[in-house]
Amino acid sequence: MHPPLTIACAKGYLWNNAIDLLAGMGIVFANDLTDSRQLSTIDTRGTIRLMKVRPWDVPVYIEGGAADLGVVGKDVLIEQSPTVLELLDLQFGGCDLVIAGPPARQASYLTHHIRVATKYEMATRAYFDERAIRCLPIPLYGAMELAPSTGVADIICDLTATGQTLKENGLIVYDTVFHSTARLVANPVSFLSKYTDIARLYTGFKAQLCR
Amino acid sequence: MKHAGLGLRDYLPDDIRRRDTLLASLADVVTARGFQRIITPSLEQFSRIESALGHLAHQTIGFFDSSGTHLILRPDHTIPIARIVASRLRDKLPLALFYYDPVFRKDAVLGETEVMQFGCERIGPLSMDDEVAMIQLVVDITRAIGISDIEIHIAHPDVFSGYSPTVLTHIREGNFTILEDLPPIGIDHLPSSSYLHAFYDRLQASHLPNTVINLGLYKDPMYYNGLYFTVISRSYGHVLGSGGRYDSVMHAFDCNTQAFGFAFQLHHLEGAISACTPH
Repeated sequence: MHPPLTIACAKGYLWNNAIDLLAGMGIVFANDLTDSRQLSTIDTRGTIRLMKVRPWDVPVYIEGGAADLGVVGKDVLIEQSPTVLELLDLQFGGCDLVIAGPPARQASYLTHHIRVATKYEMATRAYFDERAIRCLPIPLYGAMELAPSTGVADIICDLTATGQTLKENGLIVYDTVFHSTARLVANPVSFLSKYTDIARLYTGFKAQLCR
Repeated sequence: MKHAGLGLRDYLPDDIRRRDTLLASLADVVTARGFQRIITPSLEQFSRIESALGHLAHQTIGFFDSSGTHLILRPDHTIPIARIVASRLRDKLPLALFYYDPVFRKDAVLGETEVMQFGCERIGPLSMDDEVAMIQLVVDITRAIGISDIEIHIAHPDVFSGYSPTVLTHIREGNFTILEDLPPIGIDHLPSSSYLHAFYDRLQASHLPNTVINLGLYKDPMYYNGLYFTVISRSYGHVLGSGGRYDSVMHAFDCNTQAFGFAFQLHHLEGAISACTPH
């Protein structure tokens, strides 16, 4: 019997959709990890091992060979540039990485040394580099919307799905850096050595997306 | 900061003992086939090898010396060896050379990186049988050091001739989302008249069953102008090594001959040996 394929799936806003897709393929897990402290389980047929990890850690598990496949946001892939294969756009978890700030700053945000609160430092630098502007990324990992009003930063670069949190904190979108959705990714060596199993799962994901 | 830095490593006596044992085994296999060791300079003058660098040009670690000359740390061994053969050994062809020394490349995640490689090069007129013999050498090397579960994934630039440059860029970057389906693996997807098909048949006739035709394996055509391959171990999550036909690198040094080579990363060979060893 083949060893099970290991999938590292981002917990949080991508988790439920990913589990639903797997369930649609008849892949049901022995334990529901959704609200559990348990971090891994195996499906009832013993073919898939599922790991629940933080979104930013998914590429680490894939690159290190601890997982064969992963479900992770495109935003994480763009920010980390990991050595993984991107197999399929899973089309859920849609959101935008945006430049946002107070309305009064919109006309003048493309100025040198603008302070940008973000956890997407690479994407932020790339955005301003393309416009020949030197920015100062301020690393923050939550409650980004507070940064402009508290003076920690001038503006923010963050993910938004509906724009509601920005609106409730008096911020508006200046520009969209990129659109992100969930992606199915693979360890390059697993892709070669477990091609048949991975291709079968890929086909199953694709069939689910076409329904 | 007392450690060596990201992407760099210190080698302690225990590491060296293990490494020396490995290198001796590797050298035994290739010297028995007539390969001779070559040592290339750690530094190269950028302008002298620039035309052969291909995709490596973006990964070089360089600086300017006091006279303003742009120097780079050796980003691979093939290019310096091609330069040396073109300038000093042209009349000694065919040549079978091997090396074990570090290469230096910028890594997107680790920063500047030093990696120890072991590799072999055959330079001179090459037949399909010579290429098969190089694949056989890869199998023999890995077997000699105790890696029992390798697969050699093989492709050829010709199988990608139908793709647009945009699609090829995506494939090279490992992004298959632009394709209608996953790139196929296996001989069934190849025209029977292709070089790759004939090569695969020859591999099978030579009893090299752990070779796989992989139509998702796309490499820089500026560097590999013919057959190329990647070596993996089924029980280890990293690529062990890669190689292929690189006449175009020789041509970049005005040497109109043929060449085929491969390189292993030694720390990955050690990792795969460990993964294949029962605990």
